[in-house]
Formats: sequence, C-alpha cells, structure tokens
Amino acid sequence: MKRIDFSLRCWTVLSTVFSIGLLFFLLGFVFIKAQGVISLNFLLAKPAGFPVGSAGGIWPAVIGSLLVTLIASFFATVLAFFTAVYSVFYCRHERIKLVINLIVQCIAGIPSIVLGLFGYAFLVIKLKLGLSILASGLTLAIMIFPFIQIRFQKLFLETNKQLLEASASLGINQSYTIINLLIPMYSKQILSIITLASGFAMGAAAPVMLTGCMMNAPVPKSIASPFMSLPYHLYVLIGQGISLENAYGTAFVLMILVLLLNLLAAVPTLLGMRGKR
Amino acid sequence: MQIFQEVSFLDFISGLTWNPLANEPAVGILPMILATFYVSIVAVLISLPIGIGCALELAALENERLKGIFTSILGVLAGIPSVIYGFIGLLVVVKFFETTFMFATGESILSGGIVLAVMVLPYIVSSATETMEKSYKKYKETSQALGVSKSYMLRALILPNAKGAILTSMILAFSRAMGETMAVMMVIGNSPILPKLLGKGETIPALIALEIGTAGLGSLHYHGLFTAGFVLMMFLIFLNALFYLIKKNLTEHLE
Repeated sequence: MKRIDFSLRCWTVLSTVFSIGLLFFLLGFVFIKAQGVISLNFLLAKPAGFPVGSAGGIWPAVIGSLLVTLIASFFATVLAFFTAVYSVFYCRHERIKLVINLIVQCIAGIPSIVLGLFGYAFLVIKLKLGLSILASGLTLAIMIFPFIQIRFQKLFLETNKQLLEASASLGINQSYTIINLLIPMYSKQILSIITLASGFAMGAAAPVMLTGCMMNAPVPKSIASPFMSLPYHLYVLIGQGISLENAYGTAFVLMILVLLLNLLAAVPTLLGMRGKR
Repeated sequence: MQIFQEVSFLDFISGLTWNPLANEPAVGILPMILATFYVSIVAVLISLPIGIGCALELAALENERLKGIFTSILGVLAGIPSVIYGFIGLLVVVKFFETTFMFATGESILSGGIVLAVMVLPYIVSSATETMEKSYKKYKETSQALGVSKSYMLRALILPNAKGAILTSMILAFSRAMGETMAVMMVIGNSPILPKLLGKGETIPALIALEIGTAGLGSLHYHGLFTAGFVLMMFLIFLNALFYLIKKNLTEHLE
C-alpha cells in the first residue's frame, strides 16, 4: 500500500516539476541564444541583406504585429462585449442561449488555418480588401472573439444578483445599469481579458500569412497596406534557413512582447488582491 | 465545394495521392487525414500522463499562493506563440533525433507529436484541474475525518472520480492538436505520404498553409485545399460540440 502511495506522489510531483520546468527551459533557451543578436540596431532597422532578412533588423515587423493586434482586439472586444451582454442580460429564452453558447464554442474550435482560408477567400478576394492589415486584423478578430466572449460571459454571470435586483427595483433601466454599474466595476478584469487575448492574437502566424503578411514590407502607411509580422518573419527565417541568429533575435522579441502582455494582464488582479488585504 | 463536380467525395477523402497539378490531377487527402490523427494521438498519449499527474498535484495543493504561481506559469506556457514552439522543436527535438540516433532526418511524426505534446499540456492540466478541484473540496472533510492519507484519497477517490474530466481534457487537447498549424508544419517534414511513426508526414493545416499561396484562384487545386479545410473543420466542430456537451453534463453532475 505504502509503495503505491509513494509512487503516486512521485508521479504527481515529477510531472508538476516537468511542466513548470518546461517554461523555464523555453525561456532560457531563447534568451541565452539571442543574447548576441539583440541590440537597438536590430530592433530599429529594416530587414536587409540578400536574401532579405539575413541582415538588418525587424522594426517593420514589430510595428506590423502591434498594429494588427490592436485592430483585432478592438473588433473582437466590441463584438464579444455585446454578445456577452445580450446572452446574459437580455436573452430570455434558454434555447437561444444554448445556441449562442454552442456557436461560440464551435468558432473556438475552428482551426486558425481554416480561418485564414476564410479571410483570404472572403475578406481579401470577395470584399476586395486586398492583402492588408485590415483583412488580417479582422481574421484575427474572429479567432480571438470566442476567447474574449467566454470570459466576459463568465464574468457577467458571476455578478452579484442582489446588485442587479437593487438597481432594477429602483426603476433604473437595464442598459443604464450595465453602462454605469457593471463596466466601471469590471473595468480591470475586462482590460486584463483583452490584454490576454491580444497576446494570443500577436502570436498567431497561420491566419496572418494567408491574409496580408509579407516577407519584406516597409512600416505600414495605412490599414490597407500589407505588413510584416513577427511570427511569420520568424517562420520564414528558420523555415528557409536564412539566418539562425536573426531567428533567435526575432523569437526573443516576440516572446518578450507576449510575456509583457501576459504580465500586463496579471497586473490588475495583483493590484486588486493587494487592495483587499 | 465545386470540386465534387470532378471528384467524388469518397475518392477525395480516401485517395492516396495528392497531385493536383499533374496532367491527370489526383486529389486524395487520406495521407493527410491519417497524419493529422496520428500526430494528435501521439501528442495526447505523451502529454496525458504528465498532464494528469500535474493536475492531481495542483488540485490537492493547499498552499494558495504556490497554486496561483503554478497556474499563471501554465497560462504563460499556453500563451507562447506556436511558431516559437515549432522553432524550438526544430532546434532541439529534431536535432536531438538527428545527432543521437543518426537519423537521416529528424523531421518525423514522432517529433511533431513531442512538440504538440508540450503545446497541449497546459490545456490538459487546466481543464482537468478544474474538475478535480471541485471533487477534492467535496470529499476533503469526509476523508480527513476518516483519517485517510492524502495520497490514498487522491488514488482511491479523486482519480476514479475524474474519469470524465480526463476524457474531456483529452478531447480538448486532441482538437487543439489537430488544428495546430505552424509548430507541426515546421517539424514534421511535409511530404504527402502515408505516415509512419519515424517517417515524414503532412497534416491538413500544413497542406493548406503551404500550398494556398501557389494555387490559382478557382482552380481544382484551390477548391481541393478549401475542401480539405472543410473536412478538418467538420472533425473539429464535432469534437468541440462533444467536449461542450460532456463538460456540461459533468459539471451538473458534480454540483
């Protein structure tokens, strides 16, 4: 008996250590290898050399990634917010709610590459948006929409029912309650959800590479121009064996950006915890 | 969908050759379907024992602060872009196979499975922990009152009770693994042949990502790729609906 218990403990502890260790391995691997490459010049220069990317920097890719993430999270947030509000506060039929949930779940299940195909066929070709930041941003918005919607819905469902009843019994209409009570109350959580989702959008390469990403493009001038993005740049650098050092550098920058977003998302919760004590 | 005017549906999903640009174009995606399943199964098999062990430990952890730290670390692990996983997989896993076992090429279904296993690990852990935590809280006081040791409780109570949780986390991980594009594409070798564990293969997402740029608008090739995407999407929507329904049943059962 003792022996089984002991091996069970060993198993659980070892697997936990392994999972936690993985992150440090990933971070350490990229950070150590990227040390020699990272410089202000690498960050701020355009890709150069022949083939393109073997020298120079990644500035347009950084800007492109940030812009497309911004567009994606804007559209996705608007859509997700209203869907969540509708399904929690306004929808009276259980069946419609179930259908909404099931559909959102299905959107969450669509693989990113198929979303990329959709973006390419519908947004780029049918709507004639062309290979552009806007098309990519919209495609990414569809990708992160379920992520945001599910979390918003959970947040709203956990609202204190008494609060809602009190404001309803004061004769305040529901939209006023939502705008003036719920949004200020949850502003921190909402922000942190959006930040997390934008980290997710920033790392996605598959949808972007079909809808507007280029190997070499200048810093985008408008939202209708093609752009460079970090994940795709990394993929091309390593996939075509252009430059291993620059690939490490790009991976490093991408990872730092995503980690930063993750940290930012954690800040409001940490602050909230301190406030409670 | 226009492709079915030229090829029957059965031929499309059971054909063995993918060569849409030949004089007699052949569009069979069976090798890709099989490779997609194969890689995902390998990934889930590798990551399931680790994930479940980790979930058990997390569910039974009393120290709230430590638990918070672990959960956020797993969150970061889930947030790392797939390209980076592929990149590291190419430089570590593939290279490991090439140097240690002297393979001609380390790009294989197995390395794809290993990279994917790492990627789906956080999903398995978080999904399984959620349910296990609930049953842990439910039985905690009773088993403490009976003087049962923690590991006995985990083994005899929580683990058998978590069968549903394990199943749902498996489905979730499987659907994640099937839809993954970049990481797999970078380490699997990408040749449309029937997959073997140590041989190359090509998954459906990789096929789409690699060839859509060169397919002419409206050609057979183009429609073939879209239909491949459609097949993949059908599988995934089915899996996701299954996941959602089982999970819904499960949480109602626990409460």
